[in-house]
Amino acid sequence: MDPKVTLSSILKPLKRLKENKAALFGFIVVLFFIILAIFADIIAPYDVNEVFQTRLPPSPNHWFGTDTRGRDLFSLVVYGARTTLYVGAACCFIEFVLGFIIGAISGYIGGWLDDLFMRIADIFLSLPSLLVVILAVSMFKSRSLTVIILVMGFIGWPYMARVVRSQVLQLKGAPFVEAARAIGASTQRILFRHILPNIMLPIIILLTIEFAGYVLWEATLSFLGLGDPNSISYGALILSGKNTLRTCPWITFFPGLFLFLLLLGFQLFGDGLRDIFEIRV
Amino acid sequence: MKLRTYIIRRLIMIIPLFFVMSILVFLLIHLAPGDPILTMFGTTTPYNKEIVEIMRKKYGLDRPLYEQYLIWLNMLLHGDLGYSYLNRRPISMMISERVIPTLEITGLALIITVIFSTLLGVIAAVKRNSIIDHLVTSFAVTGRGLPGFLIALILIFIFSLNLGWLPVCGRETPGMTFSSAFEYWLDRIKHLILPVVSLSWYQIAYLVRLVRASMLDVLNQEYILTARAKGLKESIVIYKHALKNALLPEVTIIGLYVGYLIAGAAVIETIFAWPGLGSLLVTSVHRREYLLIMDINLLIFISVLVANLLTDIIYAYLDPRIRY
Repeated sequence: MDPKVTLSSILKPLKRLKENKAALFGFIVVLFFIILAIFADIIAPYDVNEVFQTRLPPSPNHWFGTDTRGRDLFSLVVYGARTTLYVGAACCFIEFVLGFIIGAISGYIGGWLDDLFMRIADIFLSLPSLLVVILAVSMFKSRSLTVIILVMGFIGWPYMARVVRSQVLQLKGAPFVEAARAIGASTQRILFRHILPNIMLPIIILLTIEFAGYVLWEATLSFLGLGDPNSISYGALILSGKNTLRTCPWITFFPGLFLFLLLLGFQLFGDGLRDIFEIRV
Repeated sequence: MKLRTYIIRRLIMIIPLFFVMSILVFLLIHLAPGDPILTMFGTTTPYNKEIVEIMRKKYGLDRPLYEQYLIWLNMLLHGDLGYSYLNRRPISMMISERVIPTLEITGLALIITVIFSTLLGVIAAVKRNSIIDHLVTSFAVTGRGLPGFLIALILIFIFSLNLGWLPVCGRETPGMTFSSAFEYWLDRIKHLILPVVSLSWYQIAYLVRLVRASMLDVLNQEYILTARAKGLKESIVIYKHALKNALLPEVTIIGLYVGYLIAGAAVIETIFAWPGLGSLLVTSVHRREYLLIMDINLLIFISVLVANLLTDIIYAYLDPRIRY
C-alpha cells in the first residue's frame, strides 16, 4: 500500500462505489440506520414508554402494530437502531484501542511480547467467540449495556491486533519510519503519529466488518435473554414475539427485518470497501 | 517431517492449551463477584450454614487461589465434575446425557453444510453467470444477514405453524406410542429437520461463496487449460482435476466452523427446546449455576481444540507442505 494517504487516493475509489452495486446498497443501508439512530426522536411517532392496547396489528396509527407490552413497534424499531449502532460503535472503539496497542507492540517491539500476545490471540481465535461472550457475560450480576459492550469489546481485540501487527511489520522498515527514528522520535510518537495515520484504511475496513459481528452478538445475547433488560434491542424484541408467532407474527417480523437489513448492509459495505481499496484484512 | 511426527508434536501442544483454558475458565468464575459456594447452591435454594462450611473445606476455598485451582483440576482429572444442587444430580450425569443430542444436530449440520456448500459452490462456478449462479450468489449474499435464530423462527412460522408439516420443538413427540420402529424414526427425523437446517443455513451461505471463488480461481489455471486441450471430458476436468484443489480452503475453514456450530447450537437448541449441551448451558447461565457453566464451557473448548487438531492433520495429509 502507498504509505501516503491523500484525499484524492480516497476519493477516487469512492467513485468505484457506484459501480459496485452490492457495496452501494450496503452504503445506503448504513446511511439509513445512521439517520434513524440520530433522528430517532423526530422519526419515532410515539414515546417508547407510551402504552397502547397490546398486540395491535399494523394499521395507519401504528405502522408496525404494537408489541406484547402495548408499545408502538415502529417507534421501538427506530430506537432499536440507536441502541444497536451504539453497541456496535462502542465495541469497535474498544477493539480498536486494545487491538492497536497490542498489535503495535507485537509488531514494532516484537520479541517475547510478540510471541505471548500472538499465542493468546491464537487461543481466542480458535475458540467459539459467542460462547466466550456468554461465559463472560454470565459472570456479571447486572447485565447492563455497558457491561455487555465492555465484555464484547475485550473479546474482539485479537482480530484487530493481528491486522495492526502485520501492517506495522510492513511499515517498520519504511523510509519515513526510519527517518523519524533517526531524528530521535520516541516509540510512542512513531506509532501514533507516523504509523497509525498510514494504517487507518485497513483498520476502518476491518471495523466495518466487525461492526456487523458485534451487532449479531448483542442481538443473540438479548435473544437468549442474556442482554440488558432495560435497553431496546432487536434481539429482545424478536424474543418477545416468539411465543405469539402464530397469532401476531409482526412482533417478530419487523425487528427481524431491520436486524437482517442492518447485518446485510454493514457486511456488504465492508466487503465493498475491501474490494474497492484492494486491501486484504 | 513425517506425518506421524507432526501428529505427535501437535498432540503434545494440546497439553499446555488445556491448562491455559482451564485457568481461563477458572479465573473467570473466581473473579466473579459473590461467594462461589452460595452461587453454587443457586439463588433460589435454601441452604444450611454447616453444609456451606463443609463444602468450603471440600473445595478448599479457605486456601490460596492457586491451591484452589489445583484442587479443582485434580477433581476434574479424576472425572469429578461436581454436583448440581439445583438439580440434585451429579454434573457428569447431566452433561453426559446431553452430549448425544448435541452431536446429533451439530454432526448432521456439519455433513449438510459440507455437501450443500460444495455442491452449490461448484455448480455456480462451473455455470458462471447462468440463472443457477445468480440464484446461488443471491442466496449467499442474503444468507449472511440471517442469523440462525431468525432463520429458525421463519422456518417455524412457515413449516410448523402455517403448514403444520413439522413439529415446533423437542427431540421426539412426548407420550406417543409408535406402532413400528419406522414410525418412531420418522418422528425423530421430523424433529431434526428444522434445527439442523437453521443451524446450517448461515454457514452454507458463507461457505458457498468461498467454494465458488476458489473453484473459479482453479478453473482459470493453466493445468485446467492443458486438461481441456488434451480433449478430456469436461466432467473429468472438473471433478478429477479442479475439485480437489478447489476444496483446500474449505477444509481449513471447517476446523473453525466446528466451533461456530457448537456456539450456534446453544441458540438453536434453546429455540427448539432441544435437550442438548447448548440449551443446558443457556439455562445454567440463567440460573447462575457457575460450576455447571464452567464444566460445559471447558468441555466445549476442549472438543473445539480436538476438532482443530483433526482438521490440521487432515490438511497436513492433503498438503504435505503444511508440516514444515
